[in-house]
Amino acid sequence: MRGRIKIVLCLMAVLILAGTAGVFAQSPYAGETITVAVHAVPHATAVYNFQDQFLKETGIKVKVIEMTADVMYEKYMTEFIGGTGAYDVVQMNPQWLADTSPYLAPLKPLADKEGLDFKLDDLVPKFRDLYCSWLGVWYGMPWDGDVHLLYYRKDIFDKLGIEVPKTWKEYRDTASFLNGWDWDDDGEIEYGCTEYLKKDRMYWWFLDRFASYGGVYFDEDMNPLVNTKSGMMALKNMVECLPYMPPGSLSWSYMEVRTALVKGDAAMGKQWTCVGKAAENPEESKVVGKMNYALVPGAQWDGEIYYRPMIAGGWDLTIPKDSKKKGAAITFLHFITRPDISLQIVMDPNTSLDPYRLSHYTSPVFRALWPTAGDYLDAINANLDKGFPDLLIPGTAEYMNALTYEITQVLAGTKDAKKALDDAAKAWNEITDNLDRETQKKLWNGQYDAMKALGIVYKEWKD
Amino acid sequence: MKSGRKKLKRYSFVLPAVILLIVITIFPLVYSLTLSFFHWDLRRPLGWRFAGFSNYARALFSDHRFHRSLITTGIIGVSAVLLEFLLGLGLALLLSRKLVGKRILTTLLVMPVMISPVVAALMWRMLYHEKYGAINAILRLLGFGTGPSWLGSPHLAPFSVVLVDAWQWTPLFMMILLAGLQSIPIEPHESALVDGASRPQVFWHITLPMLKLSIIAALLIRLVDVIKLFDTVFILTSGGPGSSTETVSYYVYLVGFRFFRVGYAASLSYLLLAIVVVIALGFLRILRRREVG
Repeated sequence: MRGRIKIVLCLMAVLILAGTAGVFAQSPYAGETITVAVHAVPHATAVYNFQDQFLKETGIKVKVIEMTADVMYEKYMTEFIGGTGAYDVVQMNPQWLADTSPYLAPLKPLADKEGLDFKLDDLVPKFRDLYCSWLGVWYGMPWDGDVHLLYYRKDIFDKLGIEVPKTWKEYRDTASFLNGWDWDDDGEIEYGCTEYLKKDRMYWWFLDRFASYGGVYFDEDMNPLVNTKSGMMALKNMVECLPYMPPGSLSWSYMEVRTALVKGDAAMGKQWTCVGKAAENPEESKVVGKMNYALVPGAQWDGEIYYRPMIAGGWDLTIPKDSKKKGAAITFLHFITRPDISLQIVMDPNTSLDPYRLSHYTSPVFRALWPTAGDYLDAINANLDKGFPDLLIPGTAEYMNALTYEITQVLAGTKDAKKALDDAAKAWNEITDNLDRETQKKLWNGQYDAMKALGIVYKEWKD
Repeated sequence: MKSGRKKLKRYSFVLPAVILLIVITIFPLVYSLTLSFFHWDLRRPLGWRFAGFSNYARALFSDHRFHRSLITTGIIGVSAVLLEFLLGLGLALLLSRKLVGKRILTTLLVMPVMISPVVAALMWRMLYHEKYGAINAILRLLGFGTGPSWLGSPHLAPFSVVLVDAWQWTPLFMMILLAGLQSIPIEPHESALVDGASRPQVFWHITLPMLKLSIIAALLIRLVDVIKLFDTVFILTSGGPGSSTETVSYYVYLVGFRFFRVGYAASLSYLLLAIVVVIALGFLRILRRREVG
């Protein structure tokens, strides 16, 4: 009997050792710990959810550093400039790639060295071609495929026989009609629309309008076009829509707008992709099964509607040049953006991370997640198809801050629209001069050429 | 020989403190002052380029956003400090009397000072929410309609920032003034009362003048502090709506850490320092006059 027990124990020990060896043999970086800087929960949830599986598969541990979107840029830049090597993987806004690329490790050599296939053909082309590279060098893997969608209350629109607004004028009129009365019979007054207008990142809500009225950031000579008729029309529409938004909207950011939509306080609103999943999450939403999705409105041009929804931000995962554990870091990037893992992440409403692989949009599992999930994915695709990219040159954070400073003064009623946009253009010129006009011009024309190839070119508004 | 050793021994005791002072205070001051005379944009690979006084000239004569932020800081700062002084003085007078539960009350009143300004601002951001915030919920219960838009109105937002600052820092005034009140001898009050002075007369002519030193100290500490107001604005409003709550510290932060124009940010910081020094000198002159008097 004793002999048998000994044999069984020996066999078990051999199996455990073999199993452990098997696991750790899968990565030459087993035993390393990488530091991953990501947007605080909800985004960080995705890393927390999969760090154990990553450890099991590779033997690499993950230490998560959470930070808010507001402070990421300056935290990264100060660490990069200091050459601290504090992070091995960082969540990066594509807008910052122009400024941060000197401090990032190109991904291709790392992927080639480790023999990792990132299945780049499966990435949405606009994310892959515009938001992951800088000057032709691949620095980031998408992590969150953001684009603006128009969310609206299908039940209310159907009940009242209202058409989904296709132009900004229709959007304003629909918001006006649905504002200030109890259209869902819950005993509370509801509002026409809701938008992110807090001073930090509200410029995207201006740019959807600006671009559809024919605007682009600069002309070929680097003259700002923000103070053209396109800018004026965009700002005029924003000011006209403001009375139909919930009180306090000028201080509202992502979470307040999301809350207003999923709690049924507003009939419609422009928001990032993740709100669609939140609206179908019964733990958070009062409008499960009642929300629908459409193209962000556009501007009417000679009978044709010109849609330009913002491909607003989104997030990449990148590897700093100073990281001492680039091998483990690229292994993590490959794991977390793998089609099977990333599908689980983008389907989870608690991560607020959105689809970015073509296979995400066609996944039968995702399309069956709730009854209108297919419509949701199709709406994202439709908005992406007509999407307008961010400004992707050095100093974008400063250009956008100067624009926001002026626009919010107009919305607050403390400055005239024309004066504000002229001042924004003046500030943009100063920023361009400060960063070297010729360099900026060359880089902007590089982006503008890519935009022209997508059919996005400045058109002067005649109205 | 012996005295030389003694001297060396004495210096060796002081040396670590001197080195520490040079490293953490003198060096950063000299470094940033030098930097303020250079163009240095961390986003560009050009390094330092001599700028002379151009950073200062730009700040003083053509940066309207800086000027606007100075005015905003002045409005918010003076309003906050005045409100804190009045409330703090009232509470100090209340607590200088015999009260049931005085210790518990004092402890509760002092608690906001112990909270991090970021946490306090986050808490108030939730309280201020137009629909789901507690303040408007109470106002609705009391029949005041839907309640105001605390952070969304350019006219009300500065007041909302002042309110948060006052909530957090009134206890500091209270503590300093309470300590001042407790150090005032009782005899002059008793003599005045015996001579037929009324309570308000005693307060105006005896208590307040004897409290002057504590008041000036508290005002100086808070004014210098409020000029650096940043955390509350960052969390509550990001300086909006419009430019209504963009304080000078918030603007300097943007220039230095968002736009990485560190040379210019250094010059703005030194202008801010100059303002603080002028205010401090003003208060010190009042103090000196009192001492001479």
